[in-house]
Amino acid sequence: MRHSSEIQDPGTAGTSPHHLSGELHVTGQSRFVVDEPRPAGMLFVKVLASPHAHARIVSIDVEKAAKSPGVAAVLTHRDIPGENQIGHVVQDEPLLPAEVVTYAGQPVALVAAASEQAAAAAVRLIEVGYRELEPVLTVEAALKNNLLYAPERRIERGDVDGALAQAAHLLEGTVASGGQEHFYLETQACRAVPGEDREIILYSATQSTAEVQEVAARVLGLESKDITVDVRRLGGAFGGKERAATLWACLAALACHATRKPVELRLERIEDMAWTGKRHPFESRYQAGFDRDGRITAYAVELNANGGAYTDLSMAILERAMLHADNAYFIPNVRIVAHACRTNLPPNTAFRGFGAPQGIFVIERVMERIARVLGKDPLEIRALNAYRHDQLTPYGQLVEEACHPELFDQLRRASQYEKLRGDVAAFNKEHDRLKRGLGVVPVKFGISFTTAFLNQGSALLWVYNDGTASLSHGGVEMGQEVNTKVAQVAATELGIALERIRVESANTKRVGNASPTAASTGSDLNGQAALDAARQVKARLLPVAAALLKARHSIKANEHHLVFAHNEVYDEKHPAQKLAFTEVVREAYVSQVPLGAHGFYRTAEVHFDRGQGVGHPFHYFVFGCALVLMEVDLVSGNGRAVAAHIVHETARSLNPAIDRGQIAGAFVQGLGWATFEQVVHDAKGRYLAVTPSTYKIPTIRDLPETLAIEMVERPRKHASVFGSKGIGEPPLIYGEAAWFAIKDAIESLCGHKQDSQLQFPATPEAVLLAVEELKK
Amino acid sequence: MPDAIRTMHITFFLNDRKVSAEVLPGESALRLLRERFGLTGTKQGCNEGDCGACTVAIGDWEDGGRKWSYKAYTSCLVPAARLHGRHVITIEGLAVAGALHPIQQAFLDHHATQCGFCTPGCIMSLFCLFSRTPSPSPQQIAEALEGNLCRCTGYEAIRDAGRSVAERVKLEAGDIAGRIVPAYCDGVAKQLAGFDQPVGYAEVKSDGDGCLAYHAPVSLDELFALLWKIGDCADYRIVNGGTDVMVDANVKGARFKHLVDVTRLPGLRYVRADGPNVAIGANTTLADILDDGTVAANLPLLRATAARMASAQVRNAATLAGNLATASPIGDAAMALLALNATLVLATKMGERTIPVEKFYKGYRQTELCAHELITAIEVPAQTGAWDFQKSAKRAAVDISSVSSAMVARLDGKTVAEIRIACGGVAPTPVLLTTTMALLQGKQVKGTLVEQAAQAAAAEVAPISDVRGSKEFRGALVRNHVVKHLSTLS
Repeated sequence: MRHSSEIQDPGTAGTSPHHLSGELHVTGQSRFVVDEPRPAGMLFVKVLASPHAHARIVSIDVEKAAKSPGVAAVLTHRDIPGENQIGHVVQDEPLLPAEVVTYAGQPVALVAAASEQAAAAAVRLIEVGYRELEPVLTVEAALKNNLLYAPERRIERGDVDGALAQAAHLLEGTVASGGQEHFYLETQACRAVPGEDREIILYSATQSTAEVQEVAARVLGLESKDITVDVRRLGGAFGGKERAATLWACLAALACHATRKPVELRLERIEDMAWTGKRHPFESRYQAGFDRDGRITAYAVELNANGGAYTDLSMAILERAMLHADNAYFIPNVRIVAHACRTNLPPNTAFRGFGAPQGIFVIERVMERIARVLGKDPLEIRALNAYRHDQLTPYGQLVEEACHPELFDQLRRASQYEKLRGDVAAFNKEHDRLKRGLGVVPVKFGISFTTAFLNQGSALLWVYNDGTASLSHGGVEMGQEVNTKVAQVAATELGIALERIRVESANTKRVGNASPTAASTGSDLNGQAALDAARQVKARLLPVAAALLKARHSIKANEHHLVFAHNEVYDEKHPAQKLAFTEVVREAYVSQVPLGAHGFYRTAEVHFDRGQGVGHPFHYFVFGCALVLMEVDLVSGNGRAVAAHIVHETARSLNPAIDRGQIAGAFVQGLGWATFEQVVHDAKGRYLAVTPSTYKIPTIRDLPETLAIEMVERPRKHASVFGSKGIGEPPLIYGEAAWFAIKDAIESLCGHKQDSQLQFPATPEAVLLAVEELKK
Repeated sequence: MPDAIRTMHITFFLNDRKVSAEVLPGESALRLLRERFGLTGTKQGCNEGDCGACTVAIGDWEDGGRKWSYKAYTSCLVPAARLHGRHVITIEGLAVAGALHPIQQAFLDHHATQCGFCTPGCIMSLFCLFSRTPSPSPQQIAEALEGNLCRCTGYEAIRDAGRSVAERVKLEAGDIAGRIVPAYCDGVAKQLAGFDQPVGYAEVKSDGDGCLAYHAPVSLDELFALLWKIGDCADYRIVNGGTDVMVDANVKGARFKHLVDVTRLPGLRYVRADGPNVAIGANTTLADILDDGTVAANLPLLRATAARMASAQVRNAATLAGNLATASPIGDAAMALLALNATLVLATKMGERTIPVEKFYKGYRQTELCAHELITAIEVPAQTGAWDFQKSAKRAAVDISSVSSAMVARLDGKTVAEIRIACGGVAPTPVLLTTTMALLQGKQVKGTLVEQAAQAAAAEVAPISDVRGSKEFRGALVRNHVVKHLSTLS
């Protein structure tokens, strides 16, 4: 059978058809949770959140609130019919705390009322008495008090201490990286609608349909069969709706259960930013030894994550940080230890990159310092240390198809690196107020959930007898266009036009037990599952088509030579005699051949032993590198991205336009994190930058005029559906190059002789501070 | 007990049809569009004008009825009542007869939409730009979109989509230029040309939050009579652009008894040369300042300042007078007007008085404005000599200042004959750096004087630490700003 993915119809795998919801998006017709028509009698939920980061609840009085006009219910922990527990991986998080609040912004009570205004007014009438307790806010304080979510994790190889002792050069230092607010444009939201017989349907803005279903059932004292979760699309998520959406969905479910009315809970932006968890800030320590050429020989690093008030996904995030502590570099002797700290901040959670950017930042800092110490070019040092084919990671996975030396060469050519260095030096000589600098960061990103069992996907395909199809899969559409890609896969396999396929909402009734749409695996797992489903249907259509060709055209068709393409079916030996796909489907239907299929996929070869710190946690790696040219204004401290060159290996992209959009979007998001996105809290653990007027994400003005993206589309042995690779997270790390570029610009003031103490992120304040230090 | 609310019956054009609605005082246009008209293409992203997801086009007769134009507004900051007699185009109104609008088509073709949540707002911002400037420059496209946050695309595809439309207009491909403004708009503009239908009022019971009454007087006499009737200053808030008041109402839970909209007062939106001065009416928006030829010719400092303030959508609503009256220590316009030694015209029922801007601020968020008084005009001496404006904020574009400062100076040969430097973000109010100014007066700007002036400036201010920066950082910025200002004199 000929591989139909090689047929480049518009819409097939490898082409760039329009966004499946594109027309709806550009005309304003696409619906997000709160855009759906409101069911009659719908109530609105508003939440009372703790003003304290750590306090004992002395009393809760809801009497006045309950009597407020329009109020249907005021609910506290006392009103939870099931288990007051929303933890998933680790069950340590109450839905509504009974005794102690552990972060500012933690929901304590909620009101369901006839209007948002009535609910908000009633919330202010709830009286909660607190006795404040001392909050723990920093990694340092948590470590001192041994507030850890799990015992120290460790990955170790070789004789680290011996190699450090013998190294020609030794470096040590501390590195801190900051939090980041997700700032998905659609805030957390859920609509809960009562069905018959105790059933509740949750239209939740979540990346994790199965988790919301399971946890909501537990909280309400119901079973999974009683809860349906349905997600049409999210207005951005970036990890912020992987775990964090569960809380809000469960609160909506609780209000619905209590009132038996449809309810809507939607966070205002200020609530969302003040109350929800963010990217984990990390504080790390390292020692590194290297030889006279700049080759790293030993690396000991301690990674410490500020986990916030509940475990959430902190352990998995910490694990990914550890598994990326090497980034793209072969390090013979290495020891990675890590701690996830319990603090009284909102539970920090998944955010694009999931710990990898934080782990990578430390080793990149080391590479930069090695270059400074030896007076060598940072790109050269990075290329020198990059993995070669078939070297082993610290955790024992072979890095097959390693390609960094070539990617670095390509980056040099693309950016005209040597000339650019010269131009930057000349610019800095001519300008006093403005200084330019270059930053280079490579990426080697492991694709798979490191919790191995999550690496499974399901899809449900129905081919209707008019030749169109309904496709459900476990992935949640959140702008990454998993729906477009998965539909392309099914369309390619069935040889039908993309327009013939409708991708349905993610719904627990059609696809149960779905893994979160996360870890850059959405298109891999669900695409493979859809491929499996399409293959099953196709396999059943083959004999039908062969029989039809024989009856209609007297062709003795060989099932192995049948081609499904252009909405037609034919034998490749007799291409002139074609059947319409619809004809074949109708014939199959009347012949009582099933036209539906459940597709399934599991990533077979991944495993990881956490105790030993060894295994094969990743299906494959994604490789790439980036160079960023930043210009720093020494008056204001502002950095400006002048140019960025990105070389990113996509293998055989399912949709180059989507992948390019993911690279550009992730890069700019990473640039924001590394430069001016700053999460700050006061001494009492309350977030201060809780509106977009104080927390700044990049605008169109922050896009560099030159953003040159080269996608390396070579075939790979280790890749996923139709030879493609995951794309969502890895390019975020390129944003770190902006930080290094700013640092490079600052250090031009001292002829690159000193290592400036630039903080992360490189805000204008951090820049001016570093400049002043350097001048001392 | 709940108070009574005065609702308004308003009439306006919504896309291709004439509509009426009962609106609540303080209710935003965003809420009206989504909840009453079911037009959910307009999204709520932040409810404070900072994300642009709720951007709509509002068409109005400007220049005293001479020019019909569409401008982009963040509908969360537009009081719904203000739509009366105007034309609102939402994302749903762009595709006519099932054919995508050229900008919509470009977004589709360039993959400029990912999650789709910011998309309608981005497209509406571009629509307004293209409706006024058929073939905008890349710079103008960026300016139009700087108030639209997108967290998915990184903006590359959005930028390219915008540029592609501009290119196609230039090439006159497929009658693009003729398809920018929907055909129904002509008819709407004509019908609104002589629109004089009054707003209807009714009373309903309040169900909790919200404002109680919204007033839009159409003469100063009516305004003053109204304020007299309200009496207590604590019971009303003047709304001009609404970019502060609506944030208070939407996000900070402020509950005003009376919102007094002054934008329908006639004759307050102008810029004119007036002898040695430029007179600017109180209802002149920041966008007007940027568009005005008299300002460009005579007040380049003010123009440069306005260009660094807010986003395109907010500049279309926000006024210069409002920026002064809100009395924020980081309201950038104050720095320019302090440096320019502007004078404010304040009016009450009793008559007018004038006051130099430097006497206007009394304390944090406190001004010289007396009961029932409002700013009606700003008189600014036309600029001569050197000037400089510096604004430092965490994000270079569309951010509120950590520190902003402005300098105006006149040299006599190489000697400073006159110099004024104003600085914001360093004290409870915008301030003049009088010690520094005195230090520089009559001297040549060279050698160690620059550093002395920088130190003097840092010494005469007392910034605080907050979310926009530490006091040390602000001190460093003041020094840097002064050095930069003075570099234009040597």
